[in-house]
Amino acid sequence: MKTKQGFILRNVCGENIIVAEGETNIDFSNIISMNETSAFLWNNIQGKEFTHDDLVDLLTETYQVDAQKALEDVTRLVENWKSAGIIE
Amino acid sequence: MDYYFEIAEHYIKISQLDGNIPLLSLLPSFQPFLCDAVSDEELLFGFTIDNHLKAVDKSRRHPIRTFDTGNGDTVVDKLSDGGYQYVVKNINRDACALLICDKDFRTCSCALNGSLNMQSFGLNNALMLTMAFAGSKRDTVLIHASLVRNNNYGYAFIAKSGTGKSTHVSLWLRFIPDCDLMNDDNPIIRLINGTPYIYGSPWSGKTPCYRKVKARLGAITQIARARENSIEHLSVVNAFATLLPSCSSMKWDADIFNHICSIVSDIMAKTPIYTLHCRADRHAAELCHQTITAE
Repeated sequence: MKTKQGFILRNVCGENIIVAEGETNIDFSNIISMNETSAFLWNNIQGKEFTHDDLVDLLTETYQVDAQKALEDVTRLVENWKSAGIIE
Repeated sequence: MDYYFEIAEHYIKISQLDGNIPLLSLLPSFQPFLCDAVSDEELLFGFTIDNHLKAVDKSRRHPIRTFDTGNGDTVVDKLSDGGYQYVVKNINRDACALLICDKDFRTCSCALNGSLNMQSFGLNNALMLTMAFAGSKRDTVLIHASLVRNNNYGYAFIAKSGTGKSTHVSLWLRFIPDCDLMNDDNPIIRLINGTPYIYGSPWSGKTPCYRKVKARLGAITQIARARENSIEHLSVVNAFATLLPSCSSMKWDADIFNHICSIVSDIMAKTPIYTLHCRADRHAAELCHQTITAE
């Protein structure tokens, strides 16, 4: 998987918000808000290929969470990102 | 012949190379914004009307999109040098203006076509586009809003076309003391040292309200029709999602779009954003006034 081009994470008055930009995203008018953890993951995988395991590693290295729980969260998050149309 | 205008405390120069129609006949709404000459360094942009201007060769541009503006189509092409070409068409899909700009919208040339009405329509729209995109680099945004002044603050109302922002503003003018209309369609917000101010402009939709006026921005309120009147203060995420689409932008140009997003964020840091769910009645105006002028 990788993040789609032009989906830039911004800090808007303290909130993490993704807005689409660029010629290929003219019709994408949704605005996506992310919590701190999702934003942390997003920033670390911008523009790279990534797997579920990469995200799990990022989580367990940075937060006090075991791999099993991290994988559950990551699975749910990736589903969310897919349905939001921001990864491919 | 050169003409200078001051809009939102920015200076613009319009040079008319040819054409047999006097500029102010094409741009009657700009009359209140006429000002004395300034040096080229002080200009937000310079705009030349040159009816001999030709469309850029197809090998040096690629199409972005044709946008339906509600009053006609605007055809946008990106040039290989980073600039843009716009063709402004009216409701009958006749080309009224050809606009060619550099990537910063600092230097623009425009050819006009057709009857007085067509040329006037084309020129007004070409200037509005240029103002919006040149302004984005100078902490300035055009917002699709109706704007009322009360107690030296400007209160902007946004909504999808036809939802009744003008109607709501007319209720303020009728029932709230000491109010005046600053603009009814496209006022301009500008951050000065981080503080948002809102200005009248030469673009005011169907209401002829072209005023060189300025006020501190008090609040921005989205109007939504409802059976009962109520008002909510929007969270950051909702406020951003509400405000961003009301500001003139070009999301295919990362540079300009980034500027617009940060201006909107900076406006929100200093300005409460509301949604007013309302009927078109006196109580709606009173509830809104009482709430949004309290901050």
